[in-house]
Amino acid sequence: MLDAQFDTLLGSFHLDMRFSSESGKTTVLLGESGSGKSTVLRLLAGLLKPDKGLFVLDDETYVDTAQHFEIPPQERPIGYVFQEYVLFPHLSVFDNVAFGLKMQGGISRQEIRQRVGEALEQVHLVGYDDRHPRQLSGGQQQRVAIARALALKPQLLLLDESLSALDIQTRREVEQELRQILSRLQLTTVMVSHQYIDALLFGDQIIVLDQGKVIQQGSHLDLLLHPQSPYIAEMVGVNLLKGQVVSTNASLFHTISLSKSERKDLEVIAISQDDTHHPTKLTLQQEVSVVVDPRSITLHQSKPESSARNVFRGEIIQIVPISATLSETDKKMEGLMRVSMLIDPALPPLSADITVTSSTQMDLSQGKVIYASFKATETRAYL
Amino acid sequence: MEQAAHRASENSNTLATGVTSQTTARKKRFGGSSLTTWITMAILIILAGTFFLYLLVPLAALLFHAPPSQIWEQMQQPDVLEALKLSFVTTAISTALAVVFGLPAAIILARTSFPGHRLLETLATIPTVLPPTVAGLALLLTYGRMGLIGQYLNVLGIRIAFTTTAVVMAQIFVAAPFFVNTARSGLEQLHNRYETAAYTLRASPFQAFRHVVLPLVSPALLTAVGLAWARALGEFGATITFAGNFPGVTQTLPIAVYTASQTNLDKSIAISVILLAVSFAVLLTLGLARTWLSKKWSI
Repeated sequence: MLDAQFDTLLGSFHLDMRFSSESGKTTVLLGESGSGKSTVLRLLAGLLKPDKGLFVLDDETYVDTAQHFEIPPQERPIGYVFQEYVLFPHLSVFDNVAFGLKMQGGISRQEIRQRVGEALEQVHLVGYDDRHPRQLSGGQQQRVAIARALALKPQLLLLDESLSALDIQTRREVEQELRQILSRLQLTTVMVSHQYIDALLFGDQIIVLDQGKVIQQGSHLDLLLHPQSPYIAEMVGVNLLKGQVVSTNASLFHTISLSKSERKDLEVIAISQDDTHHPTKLTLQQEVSVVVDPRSITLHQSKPESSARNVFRGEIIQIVPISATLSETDKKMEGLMRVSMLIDPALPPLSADITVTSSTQMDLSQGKVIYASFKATETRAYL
Repeated sequence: MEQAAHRASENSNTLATGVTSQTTARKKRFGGSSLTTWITMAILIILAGTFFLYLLVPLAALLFHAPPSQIWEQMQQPDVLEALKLSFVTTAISTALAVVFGLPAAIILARTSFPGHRLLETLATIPTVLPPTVAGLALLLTYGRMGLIGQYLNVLGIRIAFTTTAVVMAQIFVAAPFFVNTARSGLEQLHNRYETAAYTLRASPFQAFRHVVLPLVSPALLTAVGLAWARALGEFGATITFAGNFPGVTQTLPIAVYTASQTNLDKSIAISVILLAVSFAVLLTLGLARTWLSKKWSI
């Protein structure tokens, strides 16, 4: 069990967060750069002292500022893997991996050799003992760094953007190995990343940080179903609309006004679906979020006469391809385009995913005014 | 000046051809820039060459005036041998002490920040720009018989001025700052992430320094040692002011050169060549060691 609580001021940056994790689980800290996610790792490792904080790992207290208690980094059972590997350039692979064991002291040469061997085997680098870091590829260097951290048999593994510096191919390999290692060792892990994919791959729980605060904590499903901020919505790829409930009815359809002024064209009709975490019944005047999947939005060149309850008019501000495939039948590009349109200057843009074919048919381009429609049943409103 | 030339050539391009197409304009400019590259290179070589010649010629003149036989003969002279020995011993001690006390000073300057940091930084540089005679005078006023500290030492029967100890102290005063400043810049250039990584691998601050920082900055430290040692070896002004000119006690090689020049110029030249050869050999060796270390550790 990991329980950490930090409150610290670094210049003008204020980090104030608390989280816990079950043993053997992986927590992924997501956030933009400057959100404080790496700071959390430094605090856990003891490289930084919090103004106020408490950090307990497996019933052992490492930080308790109320008691003026702080265990220095070298006495914490923690493994740290950096983004830029940070192998010691003057030491061989063997000596890099053996470094921690030697510093710890009281371990026989034979045991050091055995544990280094095991650690290198875990990252598939048997036979690389005598190489120097400069003779290794980026992927190999990061695997040595992982082995170096694991050789100490840490109780907590900290991964600081550990996969971000690698190219895609290498990243896949190291990622695969890391997943195998983590599932085999059942090691409590905190991973910092700015990529949602890392949360999908590794996160038993995901914590999203923004400006030093936790803005959401939960599983993928929580993030996908109820994103709590535009950043998270953007990350998981859904539209997040915020508004106020202006009318409700018995069948859980709610009318939500997106603007402060009572403009009818900026009202969305949404349903509040069943969910264990959130109430299904919304009340008048409540500030709510509405999520719409870009794939359930249809675009039209003129005002549609469809059955869809929600229709918005807006100007296209961006069109970006999000996937591309080759249609074998007519040798044409096929795939999806994400079209972002501005329905009101005060609101975040609305995104719709449409096929390349329909984009071409409608002759979509930046600046063009179009209509978007979606069914109320395709939305989710929540507090 | 180069910019102006560049602009001029651009102007002449458009003037000569009227409206040039973009490609030809680019080609011509490319040609022009390769010419400027060539000129820049030539100027660089001429200026640098002049500099090296300026250093080399006077040193060669020394060698020219002192045939090997004469040097060999002088090296047999007891006073020259004594000066040589004294210089070796005193510079070895002063360099060692400069490292012992200077490395912690360099670490403090490179790795911490506190009020007065800038002041200490300047203090550590002052002796490198101060006329050595002034340094010698300052030492005399401190450790001399009537000096600030010297008067008390005198009561205890300890005399420092005009002894071999004074030679070492004078050398440390002028040479140690060279070590501190060079070592400090080496430490500053080493990213602190290596220390950080060491801390996450059970290393105490001392172990991190001993096993990570020290090896990684060792090439810079070698340079620092070389500079400090060479400065100590060449020390004259502070030594003669604070330690005097007593053969066998305070007469180091540079002072022996000066003394001999008053009476026997050939002898003076011969000692100079010895001094030159020793400095050159030590600095070259340290330079090679540095290259070897850097290569070995790929720093």
